[in-house]
Amino acid sequence: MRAVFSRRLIAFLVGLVLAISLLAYGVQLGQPARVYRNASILCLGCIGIEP
Amino acid sequence: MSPRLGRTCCRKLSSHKWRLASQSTFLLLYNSYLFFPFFFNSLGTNFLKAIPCPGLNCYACPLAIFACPIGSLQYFVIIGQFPFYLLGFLALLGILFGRAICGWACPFGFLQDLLYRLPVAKRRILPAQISLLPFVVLLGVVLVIPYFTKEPWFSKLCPMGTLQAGIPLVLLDAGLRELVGTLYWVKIAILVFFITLAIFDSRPFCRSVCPLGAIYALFNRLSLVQVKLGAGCSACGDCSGRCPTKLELPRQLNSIGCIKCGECAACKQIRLGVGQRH
Repeated sequence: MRAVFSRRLIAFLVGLVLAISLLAYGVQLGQPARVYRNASILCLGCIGIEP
Repeated sequence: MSPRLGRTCCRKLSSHKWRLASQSTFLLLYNSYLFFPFFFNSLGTNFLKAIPCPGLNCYACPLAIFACPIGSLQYFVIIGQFPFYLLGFLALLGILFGRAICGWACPFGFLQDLLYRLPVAKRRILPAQISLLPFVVLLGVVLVIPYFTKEPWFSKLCPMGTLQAGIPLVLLDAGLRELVGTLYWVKIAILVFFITLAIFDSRPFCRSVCPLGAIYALFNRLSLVQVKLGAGCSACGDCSGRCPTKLELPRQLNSIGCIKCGECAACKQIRLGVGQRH
């Protein structure tokens, strides 16, 4: 039980570090600005309209 | 009423109450444009649109203040840029909460829960074997097809987009009404299909399609939030009957289909918590 918990804890910590690293690198690349630009334009596909 | 039954009912009611409150709060939070109009510029957007919301909520909705995670993911796939920011964001939420987001903070999940409460005879329509279908949708409709076609195909078919953006915007805007074509009616048909299905079988979209749930499912066994099973469990299976995603409990607690809603926690051997599974 202890070994299983340790393996899960290690996987959790590795996942957490990876997730934060990906997020931080994405922010450094300016990707939030791209998300903002995309979200600011009306998504015609979401409405169901083809231009 | 025996003391044991009384305690069980109280716990069940408490779980229902908290989840309902959480789902309502997140629905209002994601769509709170009317509450904070002073935050927005002339285009109706603010800095929050740079942040994807944790649940499935359409960013084309006139009231939405956050970005749609799946729509944004498709955008990066289409422009050919690796989505570090989005994957990091979703992985962080996944590693902390797993699919508890589906159970507690997704507006489309909330709608399906409400529909399932309608007093009509319930049926088990969707088979258990469809649990891997959301991964196929994620890989095919969200990643591979948009990459090759340069079109956001999941958004084009998404029933939440129809409900939150398609119907209100087409009703409000005469210019958009003139552009309505086959795709719009296909989207309406998909929405009607899932709404009807959700009245008879619980959470059909989450169980058979949702690519956002599939992303969180990858972290479900590792996440900080876990459904915990007590040592005194006799595996009576009573909790299976309460599971909205029709899992075989307690065997499938925290599996890819478990939305960590806590409905099974009506049994005193199960509880939703943080940390170890036992």
